[in-house]
Amino acid sequence: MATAHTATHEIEKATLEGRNKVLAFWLFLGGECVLFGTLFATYLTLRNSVMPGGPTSQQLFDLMLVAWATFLLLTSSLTSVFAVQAMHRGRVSTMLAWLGVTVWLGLGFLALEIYEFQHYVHLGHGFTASAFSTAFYSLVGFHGAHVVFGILWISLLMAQVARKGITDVTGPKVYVASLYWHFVDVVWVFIFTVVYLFGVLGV
Amino acid sequence: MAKKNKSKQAVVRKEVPINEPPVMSGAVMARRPHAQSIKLPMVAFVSSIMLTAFSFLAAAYAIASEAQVARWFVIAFILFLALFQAIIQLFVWMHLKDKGHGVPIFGIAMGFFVALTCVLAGTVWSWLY
Repeated sequence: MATAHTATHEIEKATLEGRNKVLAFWLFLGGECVLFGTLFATYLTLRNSVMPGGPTSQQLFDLMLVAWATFLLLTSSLTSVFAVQAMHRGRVSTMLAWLGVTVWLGLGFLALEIYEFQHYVHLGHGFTASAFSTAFYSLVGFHGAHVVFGILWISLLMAQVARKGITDVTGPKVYVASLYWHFVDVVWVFIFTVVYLFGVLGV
Repeated sequence: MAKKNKSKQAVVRKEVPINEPPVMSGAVMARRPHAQSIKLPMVAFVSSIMLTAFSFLAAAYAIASEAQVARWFVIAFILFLALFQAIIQLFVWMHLKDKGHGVPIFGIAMGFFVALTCVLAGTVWSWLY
């Protein structure tokens, strides 16, 4: 099994460095959990602290927009699975294509979020409008910042893989980037539940 | 297989370009540790879409129905669906179900535990005061 093509399977585990990178990334994701946990805690504590006359979550949130954003991010998570599977088969162009689709879906999500935020600001829901708005933008905006970072990261990885191919150095990077992208989607599952669905329910 | 190569590959650190599609003889295919199928990730995707749809429909129903009792039930229900969806994605898409993921499961579980403690502390504090 020491031939070159066996290395195509799960290349992220081919070297000790690769395995350590994946392990350490999981510990980082544990830390990210804590970080988002504090932001969720802040939001849940302050979500009803609206200034008199200021817009409430029930007046602001639009379920259709959130549903589309959720669909885009969920699909992008699936396409990054396809990218890693293509990587395990050693197919560079297929992998790059799926990573490209992932990035475009991420950009679509971001476009919806930017539209949503500027719409809210016009409705008087600026960052400093109330404790609710500050907690909302801190949590949802921080998730959005994670999406921005993921898009930049995956784009740079695509450029690097296009030059170097799938190696035991680039392989773990792509795998870890896909873990990151999945995690961003997992956080969004809790955001659409706790922020948007709780918000329209008015609890 | 990976174990057998471990010591050797840990020492020899050079980039091996493998841009060519692998030549899969029958024997190699059979010896692959766990051939990756497209099926399970797709099942996870369809499940996620359905769980998301149930959450949105439950919330939309609760808004239409006006009853406050129904809302608390809906909250518990959509929280359960979110947790279920997160677990599906963590274990299938992020490979936690695969062998050798004991420490990652421990790490993410501890992260989730601390996050949940923060959330409970915040919400209970705001209920009390």
